[in-house]
Amino acid sequence: MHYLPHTPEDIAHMLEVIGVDSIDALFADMPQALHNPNINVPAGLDEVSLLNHLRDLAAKNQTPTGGLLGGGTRQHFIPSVTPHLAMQSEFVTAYTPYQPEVAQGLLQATFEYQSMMAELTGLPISNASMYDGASSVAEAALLAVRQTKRKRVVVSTGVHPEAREVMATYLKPLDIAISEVNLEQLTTSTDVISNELGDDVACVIVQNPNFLGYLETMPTLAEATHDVGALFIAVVDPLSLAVLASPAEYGADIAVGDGQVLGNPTNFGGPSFGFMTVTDALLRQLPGRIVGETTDVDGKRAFVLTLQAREQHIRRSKAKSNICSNHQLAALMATVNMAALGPQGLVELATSSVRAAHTLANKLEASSLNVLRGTFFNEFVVQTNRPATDVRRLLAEHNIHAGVPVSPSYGLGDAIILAATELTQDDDIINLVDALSEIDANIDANQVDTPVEKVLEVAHD
Amino acid sequence: METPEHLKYRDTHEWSKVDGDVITVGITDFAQDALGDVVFVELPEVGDEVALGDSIAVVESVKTASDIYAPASGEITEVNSALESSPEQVNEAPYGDGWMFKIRLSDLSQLDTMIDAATYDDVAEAE
Repeated sequence: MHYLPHTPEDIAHMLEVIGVDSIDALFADMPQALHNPNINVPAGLDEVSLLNHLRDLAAKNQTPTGGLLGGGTRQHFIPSVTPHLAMQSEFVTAYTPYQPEVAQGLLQATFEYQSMMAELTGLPISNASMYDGASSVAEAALLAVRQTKRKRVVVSTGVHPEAREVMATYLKPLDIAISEVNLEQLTTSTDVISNELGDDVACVIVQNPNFLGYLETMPTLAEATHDVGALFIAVVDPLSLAVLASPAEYGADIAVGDGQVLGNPTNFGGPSFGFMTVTDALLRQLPGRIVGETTDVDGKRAFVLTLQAREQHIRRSKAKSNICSNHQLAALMATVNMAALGPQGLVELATSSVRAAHTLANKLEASSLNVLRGTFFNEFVVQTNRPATDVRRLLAEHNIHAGVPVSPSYGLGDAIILAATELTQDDDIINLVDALSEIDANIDANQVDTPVEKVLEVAHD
Repeated sequence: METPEHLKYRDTHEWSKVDGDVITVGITDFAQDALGDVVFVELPEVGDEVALGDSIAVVESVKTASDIYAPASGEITEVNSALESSPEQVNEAPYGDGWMFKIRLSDLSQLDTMIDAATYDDVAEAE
């Protein structure tokens, strides 16, 4: 089989048509130094040597334990059945397993995924998943702009900074304005949001629990949003929905978020998937694939891709989104995981995660650390006496991986986000409290570690 | 295939029924048959100003999605909201309950550039 379909004659013909002498001439704009650089790749290794080399590299990895890192991805318990079922070769080897009606197993799993996400969020329509939480936030904003035909998006800074950054990248070329609303204390103020609202606003985007871990007053924010005819977009932690009010209960039009916490590990911050569920009224505007249930010619239950006329392989430039793929395997992990845990298991997971986080906060406070108090879920902020990145480094020296730095833009000074999950054991809590107390207390002795310039730089960032 | 003689047509498969300075617009029997089962119709909004040839509505069938073009310039005065819940009317009664929208014309001379049933039949046959 020829993997390169172009013959030398084809290539010559194409070059002639576009009026270029050679393929190299196509790259003439590239600096000469980058043309065929001398890449220093060592000679090949035999299998034994290669395995040893890889083992050496792998041994350098430090695997965080105890679920103390938050800020977007978190470690949660993944029962063995989850990877066992999700990694069946029938699931893993299919590249784009959408050939309608052929891949019934995967279509059914996706249908079940959609059903579970609809149940968790309370919103009836789910797509087959998206790339990650950030892209789902951006796509939700685009959806709101299409639906309302308005071109301004209001977003709370309680939404993950990376999600806001991705959204800004998506919206910039489309001339959609973004109004960021800063947190008051630790949460989004309905009054401040209301001041930003007008009949040019397509949507208001609020994250709950917010990036810092605290709970937002979603019902009043949703109400204020609807008063100006805009859509309310809830960015949610799906695991939290096992115990918190669902987006549907407080009137959200769109629920999006990152699904990593549902049965996916935290390797390199992922792999992850995004989800999106919407009200019936927004069905036609939903980006991405949707699997539907139907019956075949013999009257048997079957699954198909449905409502494809929204999508770009049919609608071309007028498609609702250029998304034509999703993170199927990560979403499948979540599906198996949710099925394995069941509704009660999810409640227990979420509850023990909340309990561990509150125990951690109480013990930190008892050791005179400055926990920022507010209603939080399983993450919260601690102010520190030294720059957050130093705290994180010093904790790592104690073999504790915790402390996501809080950006100076939040105006909280030096601060870190801490998390706890059902994986957090008493020892993890005691070790973290001891280490953090020591690091924070030793500030005077180690003042020289932090030059004045660096402090100023952080403060004015 | 039915092509009523009292209607005017565009070669983009819209029919227009003229009533004073208002036209009622839908898609032809030929068009609905070519599309297959219609599952959704995206209509313009009442009050929209449209120009001849603008893409102002979309018909989705199980197979495809097709743009519907304004057969003449003017203002949308009425849309057939019943199609939101019963899009199949486009298949069942393309010249009746399957109508889509009404336009109050801003330039009556544009009616002269529409084609009659016999000419439209030739267009359809050529496709």
